[in-house]
Amino acid sequence: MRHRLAPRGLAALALSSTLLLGACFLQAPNQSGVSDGIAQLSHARTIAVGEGPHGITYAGGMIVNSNPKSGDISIIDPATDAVAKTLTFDGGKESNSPTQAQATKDGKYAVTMDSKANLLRVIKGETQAVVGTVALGKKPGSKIVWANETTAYLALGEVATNNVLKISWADGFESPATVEQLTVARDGASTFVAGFMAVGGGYLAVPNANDNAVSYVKIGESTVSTLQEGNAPGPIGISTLNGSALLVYGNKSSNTVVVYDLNAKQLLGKLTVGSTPTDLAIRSDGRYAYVTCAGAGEIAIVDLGTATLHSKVTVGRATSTPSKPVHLYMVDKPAAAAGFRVAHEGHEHEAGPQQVWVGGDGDGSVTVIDAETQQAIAVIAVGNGHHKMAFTPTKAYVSNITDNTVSVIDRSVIK
Amino acid sequence: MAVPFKHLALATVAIGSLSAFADPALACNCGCALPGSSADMTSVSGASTLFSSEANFLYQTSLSFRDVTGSFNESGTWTPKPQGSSLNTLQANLGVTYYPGNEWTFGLMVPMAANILNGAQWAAQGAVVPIDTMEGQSEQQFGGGFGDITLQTSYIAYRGEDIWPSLALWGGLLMPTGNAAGEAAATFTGSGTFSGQIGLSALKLLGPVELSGGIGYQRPFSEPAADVSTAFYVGQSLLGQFQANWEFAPSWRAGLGASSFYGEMAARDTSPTASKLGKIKLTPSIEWRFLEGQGVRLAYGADPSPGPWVNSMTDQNLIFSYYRFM
Repeated sequence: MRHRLAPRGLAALALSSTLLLGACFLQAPNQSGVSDGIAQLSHARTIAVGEGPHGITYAGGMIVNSNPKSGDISIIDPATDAVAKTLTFDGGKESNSPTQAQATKDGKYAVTMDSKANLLRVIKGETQAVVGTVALGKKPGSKIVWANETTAYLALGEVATNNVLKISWADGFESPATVEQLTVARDGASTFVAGFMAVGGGYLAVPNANDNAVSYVKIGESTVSTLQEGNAPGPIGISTLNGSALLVYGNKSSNTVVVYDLNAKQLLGKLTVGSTPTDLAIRSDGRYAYVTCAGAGEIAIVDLGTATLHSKVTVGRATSTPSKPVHLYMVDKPAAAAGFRVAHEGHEHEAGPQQVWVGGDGDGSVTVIDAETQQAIAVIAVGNGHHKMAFTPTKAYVSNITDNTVSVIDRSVIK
Repeated sequence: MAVPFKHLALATVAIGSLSAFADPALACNCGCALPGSSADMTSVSGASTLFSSEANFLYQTSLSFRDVTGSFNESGTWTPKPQGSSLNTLQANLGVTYYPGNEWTFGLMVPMAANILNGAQWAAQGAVVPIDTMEGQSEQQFGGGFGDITLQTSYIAYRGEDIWPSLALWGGLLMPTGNAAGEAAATFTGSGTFSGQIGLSALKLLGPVELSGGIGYQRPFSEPAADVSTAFYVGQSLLGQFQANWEFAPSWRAGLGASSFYGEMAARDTSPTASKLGKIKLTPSIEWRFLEGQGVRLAYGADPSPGPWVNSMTDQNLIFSYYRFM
């Protein structure tokens, strides 16, 4: 029989687990190309999960990991770093493909997106069970963006009208949600491919690679404005630096990052970066945006105060295999764990010392950048394939889509 | 035995057809189609081939290898291809030109191509992006088939005398016979649209030097079908080409070509603002005429940088070709 642990017990277990992990944490062989001063580490443990593990998050004290290929969801207990439960669904992988997983703002539930069943599942971490579903009718985009504790926005794929859903769990996540359809697209567009979305500063913005345009609205209003600066807009965020609303997005085909003042309707900068911007996160104070340049093996750091390129940071293990950074996460430092938050594309944050965690899909790496010094401080070898990450106050969990595993990293040894 | 380059032979190796090189429909769009390089001499409308009149048919065939090097964005900034990625195309062209008399030509060109994508895929506006393994795509893709077939005709409007060059009017139709639909990027060999071309070509001989060139205009006649993989296609474009050949030894010629296009990128939906596209390609070459009416040519094409070029993939091409008049 499985015993439920009180929060204090969980904390103690997490601490002991951290110590144990730290003791067996591996110093990776030196990679000559990695600069001096950057710690080279290996992950502490590997957990076998379902097929094609992708979206992963930390909710209700558990790690929730979506496995699109096997059509199931693995629940990992951070206390033991083992799969505690596998959630399966009627029809198996023929009818289900859970892709993404994101935590609610209160950190108790995980919301997973299924691109075959076209629905959201709400999973309560504490009970390791699905407590609700939300029918979407269309294929979901790649992420949910939370507007507040109980309301989220989700972009749908490949539709030009009613392409954004406003989903409200006013009565709690275990009660049915209400879904409102919004159209945030350029008038006349017939196709809309939107995997990304940003909410902030009172605005909602959706990029459309098929239109070379970003459409945005003031939340609560229906007038859609369109910005066209560059080709194939993708990763997007909104900074509220100094009370402003700065739209930031990367153009995957142009290899540029656009900074645009939504209130003044003014283009502040279009910056050339490395090949193929794929993901973006904004530091909690809104000052810097970090953009993965997947084809260049680097992170472009954009100073949003001046709308200029601050610097570029090379990531990865410096092997002959390109690192190919596709996703990154803005994470509070372990020392700030009391206010622990994870940001990923469009989330808003409270200020605090942070780190940027970058997944290297090409060379099986995770690079950690200090968001204060803007320098890489550690490179960790993990499994192979596309990576997404989840974070507890003391550990990081990295999905390895090719290996069907999740790598566990002890965050305490990364200073 | 040295075989002199008569006008007839000169015509063959005039290189750089307006349609082959400047074909923005093939060079851009999703960036996935055929090379569109001036180095491809097998086109039926090479400027000087229009002026030939000493044979009934011209047969041309070529084999070319293309290596994508990067892309210009809408600001003219060039970015190299993604790290660890390669995009290569092996292309064969078969062309035949019929000369029914002294003024007219009728031609057909059939391209075939095989694409090899390693860790990368085509993107809109001629860009190249890394492959997304998250979606389960293979790191390596291979595919190909027929490209867009071209029909062309020309009429010699003026036979040059004294200092004046010969002039020919020409027109062409590009048919979307190549594949531009589906998810398998390596199988893309076409533009997805019907396009028409008209132009004016000129030829001038100055002793051992042959100069040819021309300008043209291209426009699409259809939008890409709904299943075409990109919403973008090539709109109205201007085409330009210049070629100089120098017979430096009996039966041997060296050449240098420049070809370019500049136009607009259209979208399946009406776009708020039109994007421009354009680039230039330089093609040095060497040619050996080993028999009367027959020869081979080796050429190398590359895109110089920097330049006022936008929304275009850049590549380097190595082309071997053979021609024969009959």
